[in-house]
Amino acid sequence: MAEIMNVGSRSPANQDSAQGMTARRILPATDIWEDAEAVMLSVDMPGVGKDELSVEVADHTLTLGGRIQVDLPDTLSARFAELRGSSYERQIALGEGIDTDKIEAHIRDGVVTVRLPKTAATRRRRIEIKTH
Amino acid sequence: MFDDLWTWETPFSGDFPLLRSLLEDLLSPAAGIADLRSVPRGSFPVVNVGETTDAVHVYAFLPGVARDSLEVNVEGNLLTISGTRDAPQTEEGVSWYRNERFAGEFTRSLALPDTVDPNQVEATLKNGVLTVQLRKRAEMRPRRLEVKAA
Repeated sequence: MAEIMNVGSRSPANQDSAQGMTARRILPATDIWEDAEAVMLSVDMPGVGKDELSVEVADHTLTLGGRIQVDLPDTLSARFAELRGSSYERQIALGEGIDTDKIEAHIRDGVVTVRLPKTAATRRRRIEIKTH
Repeated sequence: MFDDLWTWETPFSGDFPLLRSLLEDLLSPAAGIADLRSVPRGSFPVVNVGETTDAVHVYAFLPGVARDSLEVNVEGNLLTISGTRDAPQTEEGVSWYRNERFAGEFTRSLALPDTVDPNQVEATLKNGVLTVQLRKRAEMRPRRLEVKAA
């Protein structure tokens, strides 16, 4: 409960405290689609570079994490902030049909793209029709 | 019988006044009074604005927007960010499960403090974050005054 209140609170003291900032994880906007070979993800993580991105798979769950790295002047005082938080996190359940050893991820311009190849058994195959 | 069940002596009751005040905060008419150019949640791009003694700093979160398809204009005290964001390239016949990311044309305008010098604006794009630094007019920056001897 304490954590929920921390996120929901609008008091300036909470927003500015270091603890409040680390507790806050932004849920990034995500596109998910599937083609014949793989399930694809596109995840918005502006402010995250290659070194700040983490991609983990455990227990059929993919976890994408990113720390926002934006150079701010030391003396900057905030006027308003629509993006509040210092990191992103999104978890996606993969199910059984994904070949977890062959997952590929890359990040460009703050967008993470993940390719989750399907196992041979779950790929859509074209079956040739033989004529006698 | 239901009276017995519907009692306020539950752990829930302790948080209820707080929950209600948070809801009232969100729903009260005063919460609806916003800046002319404020945008509803989920708009693209979201923007953070800060200030130092000599400049206004605008951070626009524009993941996946290439530099060529982005335009930044300053006219008077109005900063306008516009451009296009492409949808992911997909083959035909794919199945979509989620489509939360914005795609298409966008425009966002911000009123700046009128103390900004439109000729001293710098914009940089890195990792999907556009940083616009707008210098304040010289007369608005803090100055150190020399005290002359009489």
